[in-house]
Amino acid sequence: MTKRSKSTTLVKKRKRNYDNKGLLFIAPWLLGFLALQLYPMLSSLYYSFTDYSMGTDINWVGIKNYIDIFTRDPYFFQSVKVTLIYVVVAVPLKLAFALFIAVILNQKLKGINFFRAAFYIPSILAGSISIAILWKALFIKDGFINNLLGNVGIDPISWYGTPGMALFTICILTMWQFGSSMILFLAGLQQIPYNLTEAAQIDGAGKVRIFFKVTLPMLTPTIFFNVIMQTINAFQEYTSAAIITHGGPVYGTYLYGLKLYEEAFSNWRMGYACALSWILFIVILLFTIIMFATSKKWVYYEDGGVFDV
Amino acid sequence: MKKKILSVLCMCAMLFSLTACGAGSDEGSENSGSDDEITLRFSWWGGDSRHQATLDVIELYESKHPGIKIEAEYGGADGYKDKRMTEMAGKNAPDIMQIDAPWLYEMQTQFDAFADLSQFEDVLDMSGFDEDFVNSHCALDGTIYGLPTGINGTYMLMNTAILDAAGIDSAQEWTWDSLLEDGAKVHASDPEAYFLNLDQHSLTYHVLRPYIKQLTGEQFMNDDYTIGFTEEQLAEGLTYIKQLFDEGVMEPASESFMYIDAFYDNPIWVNNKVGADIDWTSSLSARMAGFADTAAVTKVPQMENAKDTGILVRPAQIMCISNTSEHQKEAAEFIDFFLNDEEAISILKLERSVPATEAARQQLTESGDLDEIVNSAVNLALENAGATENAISQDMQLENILTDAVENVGYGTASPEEIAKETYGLLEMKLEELKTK
Repeated sequence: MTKRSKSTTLVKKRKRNYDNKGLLFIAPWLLGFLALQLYPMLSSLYYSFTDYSMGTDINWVGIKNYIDIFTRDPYFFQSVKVTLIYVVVAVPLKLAFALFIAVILNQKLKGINFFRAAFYIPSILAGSISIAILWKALFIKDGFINNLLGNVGIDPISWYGTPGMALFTICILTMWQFGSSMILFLAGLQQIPYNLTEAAQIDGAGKVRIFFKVTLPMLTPTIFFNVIMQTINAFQEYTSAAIITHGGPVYGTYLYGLKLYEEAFSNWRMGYACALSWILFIVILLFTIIMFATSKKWVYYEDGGVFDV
Repeated sequence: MKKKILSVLCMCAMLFSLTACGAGSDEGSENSGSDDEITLRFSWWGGDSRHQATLDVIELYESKHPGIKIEAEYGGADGYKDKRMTEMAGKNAPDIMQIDAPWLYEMQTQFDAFADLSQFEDVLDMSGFDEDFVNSHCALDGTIYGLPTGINGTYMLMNTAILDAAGIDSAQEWTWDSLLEDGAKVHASDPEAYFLNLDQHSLTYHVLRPYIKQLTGEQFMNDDYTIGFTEEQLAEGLTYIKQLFDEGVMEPASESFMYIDAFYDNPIWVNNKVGADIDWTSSLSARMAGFADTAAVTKVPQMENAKDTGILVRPAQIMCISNTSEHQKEAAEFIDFFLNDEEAISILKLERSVPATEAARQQLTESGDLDEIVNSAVNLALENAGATENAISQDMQLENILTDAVENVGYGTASPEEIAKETYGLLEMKLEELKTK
């Protein structure tokens, strides 16, 4: 206690100096944040209470947009439903796959760096229009995947033919872009001290048991970070649904991001779209807060995870 | 605790940066620096042959007008309108734009997007165009904002090879009933082939709309923002579409609806396994390219006692000048060249349907470039044209609601009657919204 108060007084004495210099160092980020993030955010909050539609006059309409979204919009709940299914399916799929590959690539093999790079490549291409177009071509009726299945005697599958199937196909695309999570997992795996694994081995634990009892708990900080980042990304997914399926069939892949885009840039209801994006923001924020709140229970930090100084 | 707050703040910052979806990067088309060279941006959509012809005309124009550079921005139809409207909102639309006539109202009222063409009469010769045609499709409140590139009409294109193989008489007067009856024979005789190939948009536009208009004889949507047909009539039209799928006249929706706005990319079309489509004449030469020897055109199918033919005639596209352009006069000069110059006409031929000026038609007839099929398709449409559509009937948001209905029918999510009921409600709601706007 005494030690602590001592250091506080020390800080107090030199406080002004510290603050000024610190501000200077973060000034580039701060300016960018203010101009490119805070300002657009606040103005979108303002627009969400207006009937702004670009080019025409802006009128204050109060919370009408929000009321309309929940009471009149015929596709709002459909897009929420689709997005939630997408998040719940795609994120675990992707993370499990990323972890699986990371564990394999963590072995001491000849030329392992080549494989690590090769598996990362899909992520460099990720999210781009061209990949979405490629994906569409791969999975169409006469596409590569169906030809491949045909060779082993499986009838062609209509990958985009039903709403459920189309959403699943898009989830696979997301899963395939596992590289960035994989790299993080790989780094996490390499952080795990070998003596822990060794100790477990000496105690007679098998490989599977070591993985679940040593590796996985030690990896929880990385898992935590990946879950949060990937979930945020998934909530905002747009490209695949827009390019591959146009939200169809019958709104089966009408992801929230696509709805937002269509309201803003097809129907020119900017105010309405701003309201939609604020709802999305609040949902993501709530999710993140919940994740942080529960993290104490399942995330293991070597330093005890205590943030307090 | 401080650190925790900080980390939460960081998280928030990350959220923001991710939520704010990519602010569109500016298209890198800056005006050229030198004073004596003027750069004009010209955007259009189309297929490969139209692109090539248009680029050739641009090259010719540049060679004749040193000091003017035309920057071409072209691509497919998919997304074209959204892209232009985004540019209009950002006040950096191309100087010269090819747009679809029904967009004029929306773009002009929303963004004040186009320049009044009458102010350039000294450089832009409009005398060759039919005044009524221009006034009813390229003008708003008497102000002319565009000039038609050609005359566009709806028609049905047939591949007689497919029809003959299935024993169908292609020369008959087609009705919706005979289309259903004979159309089923194609798939019955060749499991890979289908009589009709359309995507959900063209199926809505070229089957559902004419079907309903032939039932009612009224405008599709009335000027007072009410619907021009009853729920029962909509259900009847949707039932007909359901039959097209049930009888195997069309490929199942799960395949054919994959090719939104591009049914001609469907493998069955590419491989000449399709008997017919219904479309605009502006794309006819591209549509029949794969089977030019066996192509034949006929009117859009009619029902007995039709109250209106439902056949539409309008400009293929219209050429407009951006209101924010710094070189409107030069843009007008280019449009004049593009539509009136003999050399340009001989290069463009029928890439944008049959030209709208008598002089150009005359010239192409003499040179033998007025393709017989395209010409007869345009004439069929002109002779049988139904009522000209009012602005509200062409609203895209209403059209999208109907497309959703057709999609639901195609995937069989509910009965046509149920879908009609829901769709009718959605149309009423949207009309109310548009009315108060």
